[in-house]
Formats: sequence, C-alpha cells, structure tokens
Amino acid sequence: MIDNPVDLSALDPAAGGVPEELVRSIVARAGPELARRTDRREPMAVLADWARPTFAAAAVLAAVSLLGFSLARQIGADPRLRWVPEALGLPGPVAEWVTEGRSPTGDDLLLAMEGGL
Amino acid sequence: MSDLDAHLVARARAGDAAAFDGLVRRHVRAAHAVALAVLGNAEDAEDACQDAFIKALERLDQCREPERFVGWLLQIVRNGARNRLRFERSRPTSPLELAAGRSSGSRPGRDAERAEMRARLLGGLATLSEVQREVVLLHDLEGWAHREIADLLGLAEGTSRFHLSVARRKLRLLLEVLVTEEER
Repeated sequence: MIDNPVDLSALDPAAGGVPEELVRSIVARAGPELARRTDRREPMAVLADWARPTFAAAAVLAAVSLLGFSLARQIGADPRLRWVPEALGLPGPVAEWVTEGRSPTGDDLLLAMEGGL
Repeated sequence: MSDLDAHLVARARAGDAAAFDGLVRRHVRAAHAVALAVLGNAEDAEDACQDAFIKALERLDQCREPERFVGWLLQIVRNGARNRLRFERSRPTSPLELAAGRSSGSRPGRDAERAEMRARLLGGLATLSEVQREVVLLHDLEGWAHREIADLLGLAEGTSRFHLSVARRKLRLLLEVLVTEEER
C-alpha cells in the first residue's frame, strides 16, 4: 500500500520518549524568567492569599460571636448559667463577652483576631 | 484543547517551575517536529525549540486561550524557526555533516546506519514544501491526528490528508532512488 506511514524514526529526538537533555536545557534557561514571575506576583493574587484565611477566621469568629450573643442573653437573664461558656470551651474573649452579657465592639473583634481568638 | 494545559499555564504564569517543566515535557516533541519541518536540520531545530519555549514563557500573559496553548506555542516555534532560517541562510549546514556529528560512538555500526538514514530522510524532507514537512512529521513521527494537524495549521482535514499523501509518496520515491543509486 503506497499510503503507509514512512518510517521517520531516524529523526526521532528521543526514540519515542521525551528528549530529557533538551527539556533540561529549556528549563534551566527558563530559571530567571520563572524567578522574575514569582517575585512580581500581581497585588490581587497576594491580597487573595492574605484575605482567604482572614475571611475564614472572621467567619468563625462571627459564628462563635452569634452563639455567644445568644448565650449572653440567656445568661444575663439567669446568673446561674455563668459556668456555661467555660464548659462549652468558648475562646477566652468570647467567654468574657458572654459572661458580661454584652456584644463585642469592633476593637474587641480586632483584638481577638490579633490574639488568634 | 486541554484543561491540563490551561492549568499548567496558569501556574507557570505565577512562576511555578514544575508547571513549566510539565508544559515543556508535553509539547517539546511537537515543537521539535515543527522546527525541524522549517529548518530541516536537527541541531538548529533544538536551538529553535529552546528559544521558542523561552519566548513563550516570557509572553505567557499574552496567551489568550491557555487551553489551546500548544497551537500558540507552535506558532512561536514556526515564526522563530523561519527567522532563524533567514538568518542562517548565509551559512547552511549539511544534513550529512550534522548526522555524522551526532554519532555517540558507542555502537558505531548502528549509529552510522542511523545517521545515514537520518541524512536520507532530511534530504527527502528538503524536497517537500514546509506544510508537507510539518504534516508528515506531526502525523508519522508524532502520531497526531489529521483533526489536530488541521486545527493547528488552519487547514481542512481533507487538505491535511492530501498533504500527507503527497509527502509520503515523494519521500518514498526519493528514498527508493537513493537506495538504488547506492546499490549500483
């Protein structure tokens, strides 16, 4: 059959595989450009990296605070329940707000986040 | 189109060396085939291939369709190889010299045979048009389908088949002539 493939294997740079030497040369030459790219990451990407864990922490804090606020109202109404925040293992600042029966201020939240809750 | 390419391109844009290595490994053979189709010389093809990957990395932010990275890359390879060809025309390299230079020496008989075959094939490829060389190398050496070749070169699939058929016929005829001449 005249239209069978022509055997071009003599032109194969790596006998059917990846030409490792060529790959190594290319990757070595790419080093400076890759390093430059790592250094000049876009501000939004850097911000996103920073923002994600912060938002997650804020969400947890908000959930815990809501729970605390709800508890605080009940504890305010009945002082015998003052042991509940500690028994629930609420973080220190949150337990304090609950026991005092008050909502946290913005400063309280910031201080709590800086202190790792 | 490849989601993996899009993923690797996104990571390489951020400077991820492993992702760039992945892109090189996936496409270095096709890049080499396209460079060889333009230059007709394996050593120059390797140099052109290296230059093209570096240029592609430098311009990676301009790759608008990362899932079609390979088509974009091969266009850079082709343009770079054509520029190199124009530049190098004043001092052309003989395929036979190149083939001889490539022998490792570990299996002299086999290496010489392979070098001879490479020289014949390169001589045969030189008689084809650039598009015929690209089609036959991508199809018969790299195993690409006509659909992929047609997409890459902006041809109809039938045109790709036609180029392959013509290229094979010419190569086969030329190789037969060379063998006959050597046997005399």
